[in-house]
Amino acid sequence: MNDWLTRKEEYLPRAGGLRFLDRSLLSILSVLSRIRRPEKTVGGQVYRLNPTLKLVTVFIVILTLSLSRSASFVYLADSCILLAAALLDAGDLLNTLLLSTTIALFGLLILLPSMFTGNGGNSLLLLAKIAGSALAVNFLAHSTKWRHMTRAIKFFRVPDLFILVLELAVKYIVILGEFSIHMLQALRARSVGRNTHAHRELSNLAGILYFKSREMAEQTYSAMECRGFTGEYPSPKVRTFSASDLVYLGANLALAAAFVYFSLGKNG
Amino acid sequence: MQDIKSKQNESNLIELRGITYAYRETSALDDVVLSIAEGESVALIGPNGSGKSTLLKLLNGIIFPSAGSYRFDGEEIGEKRLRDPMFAKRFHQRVGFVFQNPDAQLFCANVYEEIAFGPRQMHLPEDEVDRRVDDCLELLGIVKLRHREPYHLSEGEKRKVAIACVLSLNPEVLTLDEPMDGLDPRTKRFLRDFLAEINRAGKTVICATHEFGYIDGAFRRGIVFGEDHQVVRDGDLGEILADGEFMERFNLK
Repeated sequence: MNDWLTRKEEYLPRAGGLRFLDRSLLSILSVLSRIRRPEKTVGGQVYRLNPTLKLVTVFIVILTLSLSRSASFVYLADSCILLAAALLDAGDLLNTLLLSTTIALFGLLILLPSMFTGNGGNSLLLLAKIAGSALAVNFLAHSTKWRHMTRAIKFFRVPDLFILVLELAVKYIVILGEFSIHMLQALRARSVGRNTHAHRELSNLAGILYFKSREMAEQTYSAMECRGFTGEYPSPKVRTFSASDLVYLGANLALAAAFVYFSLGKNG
Repeated sequence: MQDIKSKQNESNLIELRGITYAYRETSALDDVVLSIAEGESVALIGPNGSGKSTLLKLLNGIIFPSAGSYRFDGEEIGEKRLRDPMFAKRFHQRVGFVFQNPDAQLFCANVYEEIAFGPRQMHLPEDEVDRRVDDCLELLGIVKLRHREPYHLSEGEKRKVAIACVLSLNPEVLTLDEPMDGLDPRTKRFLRDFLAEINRAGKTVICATHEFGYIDGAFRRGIVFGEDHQVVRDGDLGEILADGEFMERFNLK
């Protein structure tokens, strides 16, 4: 055994943080945790609503928000969306509000010049539309699992094969995300000194990730071939409606009626 | 057994008291109490999902317990302590970790760069770096891989490179997560003999493994984890492996 291995290392590290690695780890972990939210078996009714119904109604709400010129309708719609979001669990509600507020603030920043030049009313209306749309999308994202969402888009006559590709993509984002975490943890465990090439190491990791994903894609394709895959992918049938689905649908129909009423009022 | 216990009392390098680790309501370790002395060779054995890998990650400061305390060389190891970059670097130099998946560990352009990565960070002179890399290549029998790209190596070669790149840091404690997983018998025997030799050189070796046919002789002490994520037995590895009824009861055979 070589002599350096038989004696203890008298090593004094030099200054220089590991924050770059920690930040990278944290950001990947936070993205993954959003995708891998545990299945909510307890909690609000909103988590058990028919995902296709939620997707379609959110789409219609965003459309009506965009088309409406009535401030009353926009504020009414925003209030209804906020009410729906309030039914989320505390953690999800906080995330929804934070994200939506951030988007709205960004919108405000862009609209400030318009406000200062005398377009205050329209700018505020636009801001309310942005906030409402962001809230609706985040409500959908936080109350629906990814795999339910990918199946719900079948309503829009999206080919089954596209849904398969989307599902595989989401699944492999998680798998490769976890692999990235292991790589970053391994890099952190070997970060024993001042690493002036941390960015280079991260780009090396990205390269390895690319090789890994290509290898896994080839293996998945071979596995699918071995199981008789010919390009057809029957998606499972959408669930039937429950009582809460009907209540939710009723509320959305009422909002649609309000859109028509306020639009007619505006025009007539 | 007496030999192991007396060694434990002498100088416990690693002390775990009431360690519990849970993630999103899933328990991975439950009230683990154990001590490991300097120079010990320990095999962590248990069925899949019993907490072996979790314990190794904890020992390396990659994850932190939900409850309990972990002391390394008398120093409390926790998230707050490891936020001190100077301490974290020194800690990671003293405790080396070979991950279960070598692909996660290898990212440099070639094997030489991979093994030189750690010593260069320690700002060792380049001739010392060169010496360490050469020594590690020779110890692991991978001299011919010096200029090869790690990602295109075979599984066994990757494992050896992964061990070499941790060994070049000259850690006091070498922790390995299933190092023999998926390897051919000759490579397993090589790793067994290598780990025994490293331990004789004075390093503390802690290894999670299922390869009961290849660990006898490499490790003196066995810590068995049950499916309830607790330590169910801690003692002489030979005695544990010879206890057929125990091995079957705890899903080890």
